Amino acid sequence: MSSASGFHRRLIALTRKEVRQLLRDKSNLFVGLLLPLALILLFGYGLSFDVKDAPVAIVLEDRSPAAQEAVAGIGGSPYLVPVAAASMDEAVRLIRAHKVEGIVRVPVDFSQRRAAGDARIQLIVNGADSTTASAIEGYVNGGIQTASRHIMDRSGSGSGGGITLVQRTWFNEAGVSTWYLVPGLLVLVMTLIGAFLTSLLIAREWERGTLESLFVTPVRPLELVLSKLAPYVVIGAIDMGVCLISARFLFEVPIRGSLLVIIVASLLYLIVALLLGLFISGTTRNQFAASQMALLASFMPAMMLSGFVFDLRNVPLVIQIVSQLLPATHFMELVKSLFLAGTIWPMVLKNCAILAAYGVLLAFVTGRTLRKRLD
Amino acid sequence: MLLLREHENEPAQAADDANTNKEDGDRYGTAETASPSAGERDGPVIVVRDLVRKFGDFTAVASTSFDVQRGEIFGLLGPNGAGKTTTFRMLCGLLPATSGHLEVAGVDLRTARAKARARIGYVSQKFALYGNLSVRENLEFFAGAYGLRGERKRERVKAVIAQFDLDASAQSGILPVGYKQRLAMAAGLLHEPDILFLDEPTSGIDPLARRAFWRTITSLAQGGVTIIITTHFMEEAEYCDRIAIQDAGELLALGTPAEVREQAGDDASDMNEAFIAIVEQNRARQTNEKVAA
Repeated sequence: MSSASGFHRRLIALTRKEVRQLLRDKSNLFVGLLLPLALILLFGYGLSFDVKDAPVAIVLEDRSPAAQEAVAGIGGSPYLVPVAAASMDEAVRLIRAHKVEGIVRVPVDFSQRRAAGDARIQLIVNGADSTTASAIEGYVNGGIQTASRHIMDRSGSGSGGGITLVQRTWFNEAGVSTWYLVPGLLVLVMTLIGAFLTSLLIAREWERGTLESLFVTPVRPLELVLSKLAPYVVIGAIDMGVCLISARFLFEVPIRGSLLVIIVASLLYLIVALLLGLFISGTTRNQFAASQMALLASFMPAMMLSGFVFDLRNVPLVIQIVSQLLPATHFMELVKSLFLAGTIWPMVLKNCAILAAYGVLLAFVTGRTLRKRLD
Repeated sequence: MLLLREHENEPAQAADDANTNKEDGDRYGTAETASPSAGERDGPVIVVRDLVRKFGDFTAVASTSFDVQRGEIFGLLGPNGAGKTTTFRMLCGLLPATSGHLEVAGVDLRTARAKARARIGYVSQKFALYGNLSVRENLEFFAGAYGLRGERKRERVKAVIAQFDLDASAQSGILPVGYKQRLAMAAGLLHEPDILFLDEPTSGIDPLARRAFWRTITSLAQGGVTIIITTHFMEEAEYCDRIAIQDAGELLALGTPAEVREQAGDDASDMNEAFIAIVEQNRARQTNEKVAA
């Protein structure tokens, strides 16, 4: 028996066993296939930073046609719902009661000052939710700008000679948060499947003593690691498919980069995440501790520190350094740019190289945790 | 019970009469000296020379030497923490030795452990198998892990299922302990090892199952399989061809059950008392030495 065919034979036996165990274990299958689906729907629909139909109180202290025209744009916006308020006092009451998210006030001297070219409109937003506040600010501003441009065009009195500020956001022109949340979900799902599911695998064999039975067989550490990886790569690939399909068709997120590159990069990250789980499992040798560790060491940081929710440019240096150590951060950067910007090769290659390095490192150290008593 | 060994077809003699045991033990002593022809031809299957294992400052096994012949049933006895599990684990390659020479199935364990592994079978204390797989799936898996395939794999799985009277489709996790032990034995014997290691295989199983177990063990030994077994049932030590008693990492006694009883002195009427006497004599000696020093 040559050693190559022995490797092959043992690997097949080990993998078949892992697949059987996976299929028998309904809770693991549930976590592997249904939880990602739940996550996608939850994050995709539930966690949205978008403002839609936000009520805004309109206070017209100057009831001239010009004043009415100036705020008419607000009613035309799909994101805002104007609520007429008789006085500033009433508007303040409304915002305090959280009935409206903001107040647009056209002061008494609006027409007068407009003639002097110095018209002002006051906007008050509820800063309790800064994301919503800034979104409303943008929408109100946009609505009024449009209106004032119309007025100027008609009267021909535009002092700026038709020059207007054009504000535009790149990549996420509409400012739709699902556009950056859904690609990030791919990262979260891969991390969850990877680290959490595999974190149980080696620990369970330690606890039940089956690893000891395996140690006296000619099975080698690498064979064990590969056999535990294989079935979960399939589960992860299914989840990846679900993520990509729902991103494209459910949330209508554009995929501007190469789909093939996205798939390859995702598989690479999946393997890194799976190996991280196996490493934790082999180190703790205890299922409970391993699953806790896996959540703390992979899923939580992937959610908080990878740039999924918080922009990493705004965090303290220490956090930036920590986040750069996470494989999830590199995959997050990769996925977001692949989805929204396109295939930028130097960045793709850099991040893929980092992920591959993590994969090799983790495969090695995981093998070490099994080798202690093997060789 | 011992009669099972050579008169397997006779109904088991009920009472474990101490005298019967003693006589049987004596007879084994002579049988042992009569049979080394086989041993000499093949040479010892296990050679242990000056084996030492330390965990930090603690010496779990101190300079231990012994040989085991082919087809022998060799028992490792000792109180908890005596070093018998450590010795056992080193023998089956689960734990590297700190120093000393260790040869199993003609292979030096320090240099070619993987090669030795294909020649040994191992049944752990927990009868660790995959609970959510069926009996057949467990056996097929371990056959594959030992590198069997195709016709030979099918044949061997079928053979051990018949040999241990197993239900192939039963789910392994819910089997009674005695049944699990049989399954674990079956898994350990799939690749027809030269040496079978059994770690406290009879703890937690009923007397009937134990008798069936020893019947299997003796027939395996007659078939040329060397058996290394740890146990804390002293009456079971009588079924071994030779035993080693360890305490505090040291080898205190080595020989046939009769020889060991002899070493223990006059007041040791059975193995239980012999064991206690030997361990206590040694502990008393050590205390005296400490006092003297």
